[in-house]
Amino acid sequence: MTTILVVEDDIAIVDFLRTFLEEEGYKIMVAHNGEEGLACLASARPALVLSDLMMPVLNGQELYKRMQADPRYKSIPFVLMSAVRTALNQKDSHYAAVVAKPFELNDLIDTVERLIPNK
Amino acid sequence: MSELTNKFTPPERVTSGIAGLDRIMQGGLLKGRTYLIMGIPGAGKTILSNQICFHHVASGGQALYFTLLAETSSRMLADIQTFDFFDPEAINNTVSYVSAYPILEKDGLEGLINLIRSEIRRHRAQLIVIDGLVIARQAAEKDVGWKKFLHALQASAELLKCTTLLLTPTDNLHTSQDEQTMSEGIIELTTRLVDMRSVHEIQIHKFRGSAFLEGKHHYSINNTGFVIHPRLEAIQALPTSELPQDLTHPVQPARLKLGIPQLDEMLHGGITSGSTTLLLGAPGTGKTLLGSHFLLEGAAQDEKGLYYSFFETPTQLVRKLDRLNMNPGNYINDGKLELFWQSPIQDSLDILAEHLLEIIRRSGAKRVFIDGLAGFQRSTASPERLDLFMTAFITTLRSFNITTFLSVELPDIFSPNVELPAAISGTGTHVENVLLLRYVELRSQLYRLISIMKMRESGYDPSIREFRISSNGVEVASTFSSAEAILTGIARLRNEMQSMNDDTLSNNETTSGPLKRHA
Repeated sequence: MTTILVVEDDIAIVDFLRTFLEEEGYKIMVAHNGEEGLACLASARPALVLSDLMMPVLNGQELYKRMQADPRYKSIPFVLMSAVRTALNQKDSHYAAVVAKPFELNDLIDTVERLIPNK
Repeated sequence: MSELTNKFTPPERVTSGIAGLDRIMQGGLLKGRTYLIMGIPGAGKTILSNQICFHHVASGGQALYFTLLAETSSRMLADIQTFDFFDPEAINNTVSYVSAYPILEKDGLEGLINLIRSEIRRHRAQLIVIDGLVIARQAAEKDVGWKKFLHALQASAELLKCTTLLLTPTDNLHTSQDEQTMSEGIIELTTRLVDMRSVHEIQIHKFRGSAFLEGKHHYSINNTGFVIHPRLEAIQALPTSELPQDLTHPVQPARLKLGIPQLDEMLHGGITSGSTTLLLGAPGTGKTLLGSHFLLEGAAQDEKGLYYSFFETPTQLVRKLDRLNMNPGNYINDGKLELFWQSPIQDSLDILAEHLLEIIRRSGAKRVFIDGLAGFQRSTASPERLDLFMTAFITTLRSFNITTFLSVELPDIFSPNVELPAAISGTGTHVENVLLLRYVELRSQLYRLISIMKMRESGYDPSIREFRISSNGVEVASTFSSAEAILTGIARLRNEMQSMNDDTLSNNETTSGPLKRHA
């Protein structure tokens, strides 16, 4: 089963994403900050990382940089989620996708399917 | 897929379909937000939320109504079928009713949130109602479980962009802090008794992400459902986008004559356009006739006029004017004059104001005579707001460049002191013009006097003039000498008056009113 790593500190959003992504047939790994996310990556290789921007300990941007600096994780598609529209500029980023919260669930699933074509 | 941009986009609105409510909310609910609707049992929470659902689906959306109450949704549906907004075609097609009580009983809050999420997605609903939130709260074993449920509900609403209405009774106010904190908006429905009548009011306590009209607003429920009347002074407090050119350009306002030559002369050519004039006087002094002169003169000049009365009916007014040869019939037939009568026992000032403003908009009236401020006084359940309301109302009329006469009955027939009713004492400072009509008693006779007490931004003749009601309506003496004679106690006897024709009143016989001036 294809695994997605969800890195998100809001339990309600994690719960929400888990419900719908599991319904779509994905296995979900959860981390509540970037540091935990790195720990998860060391134990299992997900097909995609879906990460919030603002989190304690290690935020989404820093997690992305750490992954880019590590050849083991560099190729994993990284989707950044944020409610702060001005926090990032799509043109300057190298993220696989950037999702503004709140998002349309079907759009999010479409994005996930686009980035993981061979589920 | 949504993408981040630096451009701020205003939040999307979900209209309620209730014009007054959308106006209070400055355009509607915010999409994907969670709102708490509170009210005592019977306040109309269920009707309000159903009405919003049916409006939403009529606009092409999908709505879900979850009920946690033990009663079946069929009973509720039977009740709401009596309203005009109900559409049987929409039931189980675009608006679906889900009884969530069995799931709550079986699987608790976790089962409930899963049901809500899956049903939202299955129906692709953009609006949901959860009726009976208090039942769900009772099912929570611990506070932390309740908070977790509320947070999950809010997150789902936000992420699914599904606007959520939570219905809860007001008597749960002190135990529902979590819901109040979590909700992005709180709408409360209240009912209070004023003497023996019920006054229904709606108030938004909180509305994150948007401005709103604060304070309480009157509402009623009729066969169309909720009708909400935003407080006029709250609307007026909003920044005005556009003012009529006459108010924004330094041009001299036009002068509108009353058709009474001596009075128009005292007014230095007439009342200024767009102004408001208070006609003060004791009962029977001639306020209605003077205001009618103003309207009829306007009609003669092809300016549409509106008579809005709380006391005299159109028929009574026409009869009165006909007796004085003022003959309004042709103007009424030509559509240049409209007469309206409104019961003075209306429940709400704002309903009156909306009604009147709607008539003005429709008719295109430029001259308006509101006969009887007491009608407004009697309509309000909150006398303390009358002054502010009248100020807002006058300002609204002025912003439409309407020239308004407003009659105010003074209680003391012979008092030399002029005192506005306390409830509107501040209104006097906001009107441009004040005309005073009064009686003076001398040698067992009553005389009528008129004076201009105030005329803003214009010179005027401050003298007191005698006037009478003759077969041609109101006639004003051309000089102050007769009034002076009355006020100094040197009233003329009949034969003396005959010799004063040149400088006082014409010789027309008095034909109306209880008072004959000749002995």
